[in-house]
Amino acid sequence: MWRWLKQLLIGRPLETAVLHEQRLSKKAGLVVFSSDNLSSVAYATEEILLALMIAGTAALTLSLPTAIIITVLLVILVFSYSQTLYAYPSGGGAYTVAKENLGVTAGLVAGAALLIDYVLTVSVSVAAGIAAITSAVPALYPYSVQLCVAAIVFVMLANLRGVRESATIFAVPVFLFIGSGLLLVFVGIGKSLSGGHPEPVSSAWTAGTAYLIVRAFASGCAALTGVEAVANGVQAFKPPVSRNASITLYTMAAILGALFLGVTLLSRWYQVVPREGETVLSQIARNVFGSGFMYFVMQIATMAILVLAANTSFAGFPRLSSVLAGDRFLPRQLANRGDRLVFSNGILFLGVVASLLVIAFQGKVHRLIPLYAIGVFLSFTLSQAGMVAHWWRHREAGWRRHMVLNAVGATATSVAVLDIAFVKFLHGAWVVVIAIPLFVYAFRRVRLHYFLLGTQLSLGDYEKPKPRRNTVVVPVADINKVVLAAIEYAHSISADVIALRVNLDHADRREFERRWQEWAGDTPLVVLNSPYRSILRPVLQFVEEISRLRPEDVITVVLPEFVPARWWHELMHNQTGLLLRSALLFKPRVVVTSVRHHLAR
Amino acid sequence: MGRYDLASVEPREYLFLCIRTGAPGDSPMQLGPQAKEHIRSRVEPVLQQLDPQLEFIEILVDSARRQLGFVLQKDDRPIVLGMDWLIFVAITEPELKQNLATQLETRGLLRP
Repeated sequence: MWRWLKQLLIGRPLETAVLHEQRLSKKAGLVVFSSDNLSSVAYATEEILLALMIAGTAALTLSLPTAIIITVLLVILVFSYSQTLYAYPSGGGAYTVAKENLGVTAGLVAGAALLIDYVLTVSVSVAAGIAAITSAVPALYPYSVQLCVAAIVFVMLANLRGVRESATIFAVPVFLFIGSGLLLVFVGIGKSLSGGHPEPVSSAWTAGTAYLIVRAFASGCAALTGVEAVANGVQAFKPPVSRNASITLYTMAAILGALFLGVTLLSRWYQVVPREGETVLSQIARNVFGSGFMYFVMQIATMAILVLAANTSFAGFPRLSSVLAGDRFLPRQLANRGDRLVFSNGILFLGVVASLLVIAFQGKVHRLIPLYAIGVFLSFTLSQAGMVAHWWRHREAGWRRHMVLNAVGATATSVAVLDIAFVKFLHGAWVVVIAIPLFVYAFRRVRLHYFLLGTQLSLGDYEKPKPRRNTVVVPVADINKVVLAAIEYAHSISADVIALRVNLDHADRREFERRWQEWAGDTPLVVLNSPYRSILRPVLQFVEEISRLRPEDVITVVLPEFVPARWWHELMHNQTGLLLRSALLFKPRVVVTSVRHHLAR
Repeated sequence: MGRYDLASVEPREYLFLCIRTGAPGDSPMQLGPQAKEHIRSRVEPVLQQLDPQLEFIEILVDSARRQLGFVLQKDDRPIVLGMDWLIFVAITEPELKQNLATQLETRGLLRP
């Protein structure tokens, strides 16, 4: 039943040998890695306008210069990251680059920042997409949280089916958004140039202009989140990986730049102002297309791309967590590939955490948006600074040119991170400032655990095994086939066997002892009283006492258990064996084993 | 076994003989009723002096027949005190009391 359901949801298991077939073409890579980045077109311009609004509508003219500065930063970033793709074809994520060139702590800071960003991306983008849907269909509003969780589960399942399948499933909405967005920009500009728009109001530059641009820049930098996804996931591409990833990165940046600048330009030409109840992009689309078919296509595509921004995180988070797990900074299960050759545990973990975040915030996760950019820009800065150190050390052909380019990228992004931290600190960026060191501490603790595990399991100080005695304790509730089978098994592994009964409710002890003598008289029986009707406590304490009595012995607890013929029969029996096994798990020198009797019906 | 007339010996001698040979009907891990009774009659009064709430439950012996285990219970807590069989046979009552008291003290069940 479970296998059938699993195969239905995520497909048949794939052989390890076909791993290379799961690699992405440039087009599929664009679908998987661009949705987060491109989705920011839906809100980045609005964020800039909102930041400028404090100085009045006249200040909105500064949106275009701000967007141009952000686009210049995008170009610098893309050129810088393109170099990373060639320098680290095996996976040039900020974590790897920073760790190898700036030290482990810098790498962990970058890793923590990115992991936080991935989780927030899923929660925020899905919530934003569902908010767009519930705005269009208000009857769905009471079910926002359920819809958010359903959307996360949908994207999660698509990713569990494999990275290529997720690209196939999500190709249509991504290309629909790119197509309708470009059409909006071209038609909008065409209409404007033909004189169909009112002249924008110009504003004089004042002393506060610089501050306004700094503020708007910090908000608009949200447009650049997701640029790092290609570099982090370079190994997902078909060979030659660096070239294919680089072309995808340039294509993504070109589309983002065109859409972002175009939308910001149109917002000025059409004098669109952020207002309650309708997004800036929706207002522009209404101005350009009217309220007809294309307007609805644009709106639907926007909703879809917002939800699908989560898809990029589902591609990035499991890869990054697998690299961290490989370096033993995260639990090693995160490095295992699942049935479909994806890092299933990372995908499931991300889905669960993002869902919990949405539930905790009741779907109103817009308050998390200020947390976004600071982590991303921190990882940008560390990655670029790491590349500067890389070129300086390796001095390959053309290293000076490469180093200058990465230095420009590092400087630009570090200015941006300081700006965002300054402007957004009180709006929630402080949470990231606290969270990142906590994550780094946790990574180091995990690593320490694995180190201590290694030293404790090491054969360095191992002496040849000495013969050990085994004392077996068999908890018995009654005298029946299961119990006698357990006693027989206990005698087969040791000469020291003790049967232990916990006498509840002052049951007739002598009668039990008489029957025991009859059926298993060779085995000593200890009958403990339990005035408080607990079975677990006396058994655990008795095992502890025996362990103390025979400190050189291994203590084996043999649990007589029966397996019902039907799963639902389990519901009719108490699970004492299960509880005992769990409770004994943490007792040193104690082995727990079960002798199971399978019931026929 | 046949060389000893177990019925005629003193309890302490009886127990000493049981260490090596076992009493009639003993399995390696089981003491016969007589041996159990001898041990119990020695240990139980001492325990009563130490703490009247201690209930004597059972006597265990390992398969090598070297170590005795006295299973007691106080309220719902089981306690197993151990003693080398030879020592048990050899020591005096005050020494037995001191030995058991020390074991109870290490568990925090008896104030020193």
